[in-house]
Amino acid sequence: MSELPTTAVTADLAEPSRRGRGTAAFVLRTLGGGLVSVGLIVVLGFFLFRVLPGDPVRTMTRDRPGNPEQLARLRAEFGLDRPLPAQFVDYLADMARGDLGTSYVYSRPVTEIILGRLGPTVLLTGTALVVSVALGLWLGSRAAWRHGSVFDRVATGTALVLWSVPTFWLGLIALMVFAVGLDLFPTGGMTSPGGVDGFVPAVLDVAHHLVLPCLTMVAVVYAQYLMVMRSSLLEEMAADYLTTARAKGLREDLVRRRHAVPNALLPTITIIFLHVGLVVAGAVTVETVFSWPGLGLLTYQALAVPDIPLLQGTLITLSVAVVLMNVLADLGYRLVDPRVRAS
Amino acid sequence: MRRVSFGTCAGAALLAATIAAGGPGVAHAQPPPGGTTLRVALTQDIDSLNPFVAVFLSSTQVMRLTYENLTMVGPDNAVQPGLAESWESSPDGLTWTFRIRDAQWSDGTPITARDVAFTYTQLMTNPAAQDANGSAVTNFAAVTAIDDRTVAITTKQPQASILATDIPIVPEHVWSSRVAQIGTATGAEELPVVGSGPYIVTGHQEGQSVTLSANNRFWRGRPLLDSLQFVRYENVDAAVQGLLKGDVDLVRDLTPAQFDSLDGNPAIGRNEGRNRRYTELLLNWSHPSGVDGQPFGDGHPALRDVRVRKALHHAVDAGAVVERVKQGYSEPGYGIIPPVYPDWTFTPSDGQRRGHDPARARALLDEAGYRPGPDGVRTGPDGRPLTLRLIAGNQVPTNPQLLEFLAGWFTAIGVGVTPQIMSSNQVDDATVAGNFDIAVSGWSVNPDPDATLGQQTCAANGTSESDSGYCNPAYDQLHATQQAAIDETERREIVRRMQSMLYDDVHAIVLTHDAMLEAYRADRFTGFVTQPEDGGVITGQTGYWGYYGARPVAADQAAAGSGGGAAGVVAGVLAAVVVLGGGAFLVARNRRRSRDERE
Repeated sequence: MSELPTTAVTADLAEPSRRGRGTAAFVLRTLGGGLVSVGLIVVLGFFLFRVLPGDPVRTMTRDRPGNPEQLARLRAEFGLDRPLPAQFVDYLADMARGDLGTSYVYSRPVTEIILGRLGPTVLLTGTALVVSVALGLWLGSRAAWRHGSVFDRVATGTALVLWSVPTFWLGLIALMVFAVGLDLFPTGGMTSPGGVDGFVPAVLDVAHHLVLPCLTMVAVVYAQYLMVMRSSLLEEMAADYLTTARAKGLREDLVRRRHAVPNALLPTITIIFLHVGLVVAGAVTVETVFSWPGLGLLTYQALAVPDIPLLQGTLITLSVAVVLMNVLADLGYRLVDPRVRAS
Repeated sequence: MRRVSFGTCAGAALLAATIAAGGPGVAHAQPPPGGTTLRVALTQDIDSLNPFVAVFLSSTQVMRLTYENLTMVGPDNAVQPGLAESWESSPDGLTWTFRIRDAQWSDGTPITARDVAFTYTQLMTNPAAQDANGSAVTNFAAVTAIDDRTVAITTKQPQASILATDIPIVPEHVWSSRVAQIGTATGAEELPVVGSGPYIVTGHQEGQSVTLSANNRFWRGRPLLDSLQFVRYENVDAAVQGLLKGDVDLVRDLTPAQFDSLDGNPAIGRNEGRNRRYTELLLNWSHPSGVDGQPFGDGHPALRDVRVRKALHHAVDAGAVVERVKQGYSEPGYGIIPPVYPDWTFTPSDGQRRGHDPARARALLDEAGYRPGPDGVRTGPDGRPLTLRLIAGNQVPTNPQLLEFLAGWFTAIGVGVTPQIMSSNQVDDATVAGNFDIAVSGWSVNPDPDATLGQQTCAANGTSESDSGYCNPAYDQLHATQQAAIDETERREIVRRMQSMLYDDVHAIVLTHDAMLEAYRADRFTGFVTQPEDGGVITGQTGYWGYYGARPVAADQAAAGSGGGAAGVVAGVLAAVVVLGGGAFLVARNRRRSRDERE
């Protein structure tokens, strides 16, 4: 009997530190998993693009009559004359130094080119993500709350139709209707050609160019947030605590906003982070339609050559972004939902 | 809540735009206020503005505007003075002496023979400078500035094509300090660029636009426009929309459907330009001829027999290709030199010409010993069925249709066909390695025929220049003779004989010379000089004539030309939506790459 309290005390004392260890181990495990993924991508990036058809040196020389010595010199310059394992070792060594190589087409460091194109892509995908999450969650919660209503059917139907439409087609239609037909927006690019003088006019100019590509991207992706929000809210709607809330005399709107939605948001967070990768992939198409000078367009152009160092660079940049988002989602979820922590 | 979400959209866009506007890549290079600016849609990226590195067609266009050559070809495709006002060759044809005109770089420094010697010497001696144009000077032994006005080029072998050397001359006083970075410089480090052409690069937004301003010191006289802007449109459909809206003034590389859709629009001028390209069917020769005496590739052995090749040619109806595949925007071809170069082009004699004649084709195959089998496919003397792989790249929108026609024609004479559309890179890989039977291919041809003719020599096989894998020592002999034939009449006759030889041997089936379809804002600009002047192209010339001749339409005329009802616009949009709905995806992939964008 006398030993019992001791045991209880020991257990109580041990509890917080074990939980702390659990969290640290979880964080380490998540980060470790992320690092392993990045490592695999780096390896994959090397072999993946060497399977592509096309000879970079041939593209570089085009149909200018090239003499064999010149072609051999170009091959040597880019290390293409060396055996694949040796090229791989060089690649890993360069990668360790943060050197992504030199683009075949642009004859400039890949890191420099990618950094220049990162801004526009983050701008476009970031804006589209924020807007589509806001729009999707709001419409989704409304649709679920009045599920079966006309609003629900119209909102869900529209979202699913837009989700199924090819991005390319939708972008061109948006271009024809809003840019040409209604003359509201420019037909391509991120700024007016040559740029605009003054900071505020420049900001407005970019915003003006951003609307159509952003809308196209939002139209195509917001459905997934709507559907997740709708289904997770539907699950919550039968819960007893909502009856309690209503019994307290809360208005329907407040019941939904204060009680149901916060609980339904949890699974949505994961989805949001996990889909950042898909949004980036969508950028390839949207950037191509609207000539948006971002990473997606750069990847698309590099594929045609193929500009292997540039492709490796964009693959690694985009994949690292996706891995990073996944790690953040794992960590964030634990932070937000106490149940995950407890288990 | 509704307000919030739209507000979020606008707010987020604005906030994000604020960040972007402050970021790199937005150079503020505006055209002079109130000036006239011609905006040209670029459907290909600018790889570099460094004349020693730039190879894309888009970039070489800009280079031709910025840097004058020693000599160049005019709108009539004949050699004209450039920086050299006159020239003469030594009796042995090995030394050419050029007299440099009294002109200035755009910064006011005189242009001298030393600039020419510097440029050529860099190309000849500095490996880093050779990426773009190094191969053009491989036959040069020395280039020396005799005095400020005179430069002498000594060649190792006589070189008849020397006056067509298309190399931008750069200012020594700018580039001598950049020699260490000659292979890596972007060419836009210091703006404005110092050049000698009609327009000078004054602004560059990477991946978006290049701005050029009129060069007041251009030796032919200042151009009539204040500036030119090349604006990036990755997608030709979007560029056509930009043209309709007025965001751009000139678009090239339209498909027949896009071109036809602009018909009847009073604001838009259309130009069906006779181009310097040819489309051909490669017939794989590689197997018998080989590279360096070694057989290579896996071509069907039947293709070694000239009767089989002739039969395939007789099966093809070039007229139907022009009318039904190319929608009439094309002309049938016979030789590899396009008719826009009348001095060099080849037309077979009446007895020599092979027309569309399936009966003759069948007879030839019978004669060669290919008997019809039970399934309609002929079988050779060796028992192997005469089934050929037929490949084409997906970069040309009409290729799938072309393959259907070809398959039909070949099947009709008892030749089995397995058609396949693939990426242009895959087609290139297959043709260079000789792993194909029949391939749809094509090249752009320069004003001087030497390079194109050289692609049919044995030495080209297995290289990136590889065409059909043709190898004929008699042809190679003629090729060497024309290279050294300084007398033009004599050279023309040799070139004619070479093409006649190719035709008789059926080195390939030259199908068509396709037009370049261009459209521009006729309500704003006029005076585009085409090359050739008679029905040629505005963009993609070997020279700057298209842009140099352009001038704004007078203001009163412009007002008369514009204006279409709103109802018309709406109807147009609806019609376009319907059309696009069907074909957006196909058209989306119809981007021209690789061989089609080759210079």
